[in-house]
Amino acid sequence: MNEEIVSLQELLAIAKKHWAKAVVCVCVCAALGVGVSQVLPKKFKSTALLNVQATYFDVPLLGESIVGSKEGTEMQSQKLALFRLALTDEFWEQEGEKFGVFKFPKGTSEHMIERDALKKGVDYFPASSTTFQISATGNTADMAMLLAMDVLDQVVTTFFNERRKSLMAYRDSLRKQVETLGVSISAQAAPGASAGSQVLKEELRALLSKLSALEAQFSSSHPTVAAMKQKEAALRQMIAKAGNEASGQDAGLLAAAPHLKKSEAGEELLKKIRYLDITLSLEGDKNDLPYLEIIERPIRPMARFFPKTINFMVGGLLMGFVLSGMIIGFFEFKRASAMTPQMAAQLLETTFLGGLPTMLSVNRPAPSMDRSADLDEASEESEEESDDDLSDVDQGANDKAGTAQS
Amino acid sequence: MRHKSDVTPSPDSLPSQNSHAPGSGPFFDYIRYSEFKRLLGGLIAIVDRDQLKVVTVLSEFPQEGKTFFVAATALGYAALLGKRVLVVNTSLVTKEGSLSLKRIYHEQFQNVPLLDGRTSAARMIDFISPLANDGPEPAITDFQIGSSLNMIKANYDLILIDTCALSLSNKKNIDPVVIARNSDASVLVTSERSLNRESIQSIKAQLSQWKIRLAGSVHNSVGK
Repeated sequence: MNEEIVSLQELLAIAKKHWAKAVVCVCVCAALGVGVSQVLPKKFKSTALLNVQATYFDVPLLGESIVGSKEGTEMQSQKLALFRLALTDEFWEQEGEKFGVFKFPKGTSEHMIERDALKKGVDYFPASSTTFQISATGNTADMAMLLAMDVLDQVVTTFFNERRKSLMAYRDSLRKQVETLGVSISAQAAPGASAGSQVLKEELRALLSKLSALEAQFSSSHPTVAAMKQKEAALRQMIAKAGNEASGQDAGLLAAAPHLKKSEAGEELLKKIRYLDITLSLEGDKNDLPYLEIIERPIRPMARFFPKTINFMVGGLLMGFVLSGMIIGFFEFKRASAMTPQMAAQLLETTFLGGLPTMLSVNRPAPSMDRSADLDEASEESEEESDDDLSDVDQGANDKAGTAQS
Repeated sequence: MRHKSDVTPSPDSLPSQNSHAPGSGPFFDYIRYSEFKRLLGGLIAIVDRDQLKVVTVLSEFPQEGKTFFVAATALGYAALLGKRVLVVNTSLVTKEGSLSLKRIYHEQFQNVPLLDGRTSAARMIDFISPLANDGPEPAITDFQIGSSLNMIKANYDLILIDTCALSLSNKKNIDPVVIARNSDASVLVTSERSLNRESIQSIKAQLSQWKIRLAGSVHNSVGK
């Protein structure tokens, strides 16, 4: 089998031969790309960055985890599960109605398709171990921004509610533990309250000593100092409440303290309940949460996200190059399969006798005659004479015969 | 060993170079054209060298110029060489636009004068066609032509047989392969249509299969 190696020169020669086709093809494809980018429906994208710290799953002051694990991947999975929990079908229904996405009645398959399309427009993924990026795509810049804001708000609310729910459930279970210790809380008198406030006061003293040490090193605007001051205020509030209120569940528990203090377990449980109360008080405002921070709020996108004209143009150019390559390949393949009469004769292993001159060509000098530069004068005269004779041939007859030659 | 001069003689060796060719009309002008004379010279050299008498003209497709080549060659042999030629038409079904050999013969070739301008007592070109005398069916004629030509070929210097295209195989045509096998050699006429590797390979396979001797090939750039 003969292998044909195409040299660089041959490739350049092929490129030179077909450059016009290639240029036209590439230009047409690029123009088509630009045209398509103008025709396709426009999409805008707005993004937000949400920081969910690892402390989200911790119970402050107790150092315990709500989820029972402090493993990074487990917590990441829990956070993503909360994202999924936040974006419920009801939420998408509300958003769809708000932005007028739905064209079909609720309950139909088309309606579900529309809802899924809206869902697909919103994406969330961890940008780092604690940061999540939320992006929303809309047909208009306003829609994209508002959708991103709604999603962010929904996620924050869910994170907030779920944590509170967990903490309260934890606190309730502790209360039940206290009750099972056999203390008749309601039967206890007010003096017991002083025992509860005593615990809190001890905690406050420890906090104040820690705070004074920190204030010696940092200014009052330092986040840790500020957080401790908040805790200090909350503790003072709780102490005041414990001292003033003689009734109620917490008061009852505090009243039971003298009995409970007799056992270490009871003392520990009361302490935890107090801490949980403080935490719930501290995290009462959804917009000021220590574990959740919105790093980047959604903004109105200035430029469309899709289709990008430059991308489509580059895509068109690339497609044009590929297409022109295929066209050139096709022409070259076609040319390669064509043969000259000499090649055909060679393949047939016979003699090539020559080409039949056309009837019309008898009126003009044959190319072979022009090449015969060394013809002698006599033969030149003969040629002229012959041509003169031929010029008398009826042109109409020649035309007819030339056509009929085939 | 075959010499180049054997197959491509110079135009100077042809008799018409220094004389006025006899007759008139487009075909008479055509055979005086140098390019054709070179082609004819090549064919004459092969015919003379191999002592060929019956030559079949073949082509893969219709309208590639077989009839034109037969007519021009017959006239060239008769008018330029003064030799007697028999033209046999076996192409029974002609496509619209194809040349009619019978018509050309009756209009231009019946009384071809000799080189010196005199008219021969015998006609220089004779023409026969299987349909001319209500002859047998073409299917039978295919195999009768060989023996018929053997009986009369002594009267002619060259017998040229025009055939239908190789690609046309139907019951109405006289099969060109059968005719070619009954002749001394064949000449293939090609055109742009048949000048591709696939067609040429197909022709070669047919010629090889039926053991048809190919004396040469001619290219017609006007052919469809």
